[in-house]
Amino acid sequence: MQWTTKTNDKLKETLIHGVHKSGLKIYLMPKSFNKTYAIISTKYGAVDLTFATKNAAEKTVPHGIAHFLEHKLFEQPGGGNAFDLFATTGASANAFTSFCNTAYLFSATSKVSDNLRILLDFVFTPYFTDENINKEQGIIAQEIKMYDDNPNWRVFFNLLECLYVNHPIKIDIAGTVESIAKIDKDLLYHCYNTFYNPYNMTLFIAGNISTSEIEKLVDELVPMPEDNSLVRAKIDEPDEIAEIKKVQHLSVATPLFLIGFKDNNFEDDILKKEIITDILMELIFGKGSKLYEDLYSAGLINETFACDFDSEQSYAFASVGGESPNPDEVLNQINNYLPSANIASADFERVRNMLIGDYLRKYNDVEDIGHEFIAALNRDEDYFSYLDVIDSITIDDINRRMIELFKSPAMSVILPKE
Amino acid sequence: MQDKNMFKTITKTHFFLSPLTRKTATYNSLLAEVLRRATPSFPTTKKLENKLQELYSAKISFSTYKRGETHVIAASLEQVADEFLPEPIAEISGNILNEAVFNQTSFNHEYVEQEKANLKLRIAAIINNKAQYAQKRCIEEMFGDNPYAINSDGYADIIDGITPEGLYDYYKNTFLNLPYATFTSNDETVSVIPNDLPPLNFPMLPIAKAKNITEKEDLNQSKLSMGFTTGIGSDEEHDYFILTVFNAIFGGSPYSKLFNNVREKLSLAYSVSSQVERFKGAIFVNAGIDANGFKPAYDEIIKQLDEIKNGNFTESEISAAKEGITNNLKSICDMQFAYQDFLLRQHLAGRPTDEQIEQIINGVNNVTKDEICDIAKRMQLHTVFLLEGSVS
Repeated sequence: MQWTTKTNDKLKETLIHGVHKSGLKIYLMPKSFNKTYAIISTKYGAVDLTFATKNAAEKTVPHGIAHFLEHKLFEQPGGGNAFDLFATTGASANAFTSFCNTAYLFSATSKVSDNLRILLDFVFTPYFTDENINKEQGIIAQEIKMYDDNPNWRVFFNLLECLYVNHPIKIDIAGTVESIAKIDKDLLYHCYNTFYNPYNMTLFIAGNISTSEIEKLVDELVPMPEDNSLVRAKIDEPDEIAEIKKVQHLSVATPLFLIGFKDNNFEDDILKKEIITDILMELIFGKGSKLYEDLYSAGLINETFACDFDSEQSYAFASVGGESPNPDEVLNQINNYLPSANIASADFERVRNMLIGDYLRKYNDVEDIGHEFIAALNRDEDYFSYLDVIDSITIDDINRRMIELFKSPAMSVILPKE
Repeated sequence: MQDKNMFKTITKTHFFLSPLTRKTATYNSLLAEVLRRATPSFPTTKKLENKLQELYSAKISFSTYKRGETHVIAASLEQVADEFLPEPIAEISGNILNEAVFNQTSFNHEYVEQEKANLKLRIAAIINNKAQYAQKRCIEEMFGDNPYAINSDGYADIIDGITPEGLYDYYKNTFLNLPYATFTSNDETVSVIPNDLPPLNFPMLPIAKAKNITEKEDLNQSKLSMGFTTGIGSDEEHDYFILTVFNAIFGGSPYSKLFNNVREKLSLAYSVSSQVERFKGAIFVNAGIDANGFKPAYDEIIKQLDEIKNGNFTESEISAAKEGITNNLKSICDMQFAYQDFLLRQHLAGRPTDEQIEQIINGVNNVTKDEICDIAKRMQLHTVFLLEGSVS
């Protein structure tokens, strides 16, 4: 296997990369913390509902199936659970499903190659039975109900319902109690065989292991199916938002709100767009901004006020929110402020410094490194080049983005029960 | 031990150690919020925040939490190390921390009023997180008049009576006289912790008959929180090691008896776990269950405890517990603040601060099966709190 090594002198870090003959993309960042972190991810998430391959005609599967599959992949042939195997090595293992990806991971302070063996073995050994699917339906139904009571979760999904007309990101990642009831063994195997093809997957490791150890285990444990020419159905989503406002009553002490801006710009350089948007959002809504100071002094926001930008290949949106006694007034003040917003170059430099500091800080923690890199790799971004990209951004980029992004806000509000 | 060269940042923390009363918890919590708002050199929050952002996102943070009957106020600076930056910032950021913590000359009245309002909201917001709320109520019911029952964030009725002058007076005459310990992540020497520290904690004692408290709310799920006593003191080193191994087998890990039986095998809960409160020798079990699923979940939790008492667990469960604890302990060394907090916790638990993580790992590995059974037998159910959802 061919490995290439990139060294970044500003960061004093090294990244090693290779593509296995199975199609699996492999990355290693050598680090000498006690902990090693490994994460394997497939480009398959909650929004991948309609798809075809060269062997299977287009099919639409129930909401929540990617997440369901993630839960079930831990099941081992002959009973037992992959967690039990990690338990014997002391590793801490986990998995998560997002809108576009599913990932399995462990962190361990010893026996790294034993743990990598367990990880690769269970991810590439599906074992679904009617009996264990039935039991899982009960567990996930509980999980869905738990999130139904969670105000932070609800305020987020209600915003997505405002922003999106057709896009499946507006449906809870876990699906609904009704949709997961439709999941059976054949559907799970169909999704597994489609998306858990090594061509669609990436392995990232930050820590103490050699490329030869990785290669040996990948050779042994990763199967070699051919590229299945996966095609995802295009999601037909208009530029307009679905609703301006959504209100729900839950048991909360203070109203929660989240204001969103739908982003319809899907240019190729996602990393650059992300950094520009992060700078913009921080300049307008960040702790050092005029708007933040005014809203905070007026008692309209508190420490929970935060902004975010979420960007994938099929959707993107910026959001800002927190707790407020009067969410309508917050939105009102934001709407009044935005047309007159003016970015000074000192502020631009300050926020750039801030993002540089936050980027460098990520390298303090193998888990942060793993999370950031795998998310970026799944979007085909070169996260290692962040410092060069941020250097290339100008204040004009920010001004252009401001006009483009802040068009029609939507707002989700959670109010206390009466 | 911590490898100091692995980090991109330097962290410096002052841990102030306060007695824990309703008043001190409230004043310390409010003070922590006000101190981070401004300093004499950067008299508005915007000026201070802008300066810190310009310094490559240097972070000054104040947090308050309880460790047994001690209320800790941690004032921390985390900044990118100069060697990674185009310009040095360590001296400037160090001065800002120093001024924020030790050299405040007065408090802005408006800031104090804003933070009073914010703190009241934060205290009220506990009901947003039902699992946390259930555990907090369990602790209140279990500990009663003991200071450990006190809410770390403080109390709304006390906040109402605080004036900016009163808070500044508390800062000058009480806070600045508290004992404190300072740790710097790139300094080879562990700072000396002063001797005049708050007293050691005493373990919670068992009661004859467990208390049962139920509150009802319109929720899809019920939250169950159970408190057990063990009688083990925080400085009883070997017993504490046994207790951690016991807890990992019982409910403290994803391969524990509670996870495998209550959740995986019987689907009686979505979440279920146990945790040790070292300073009080207590164990808490928390579970999110079906609205009408209290009885079967409760019975199964008690049954799993009995299994351990009766020795129905394997060598591989013990070794998994030990491996997991070892992994957690070693991981602490990979985090600057967590490592400093670990050193402080050791001290507050009455352990020598030069006790190395390696020694603790050895101690954990020496725990035997008989010792685990014996510890399980010392567990006494004290309080059962149920936040009961209604099925509508």
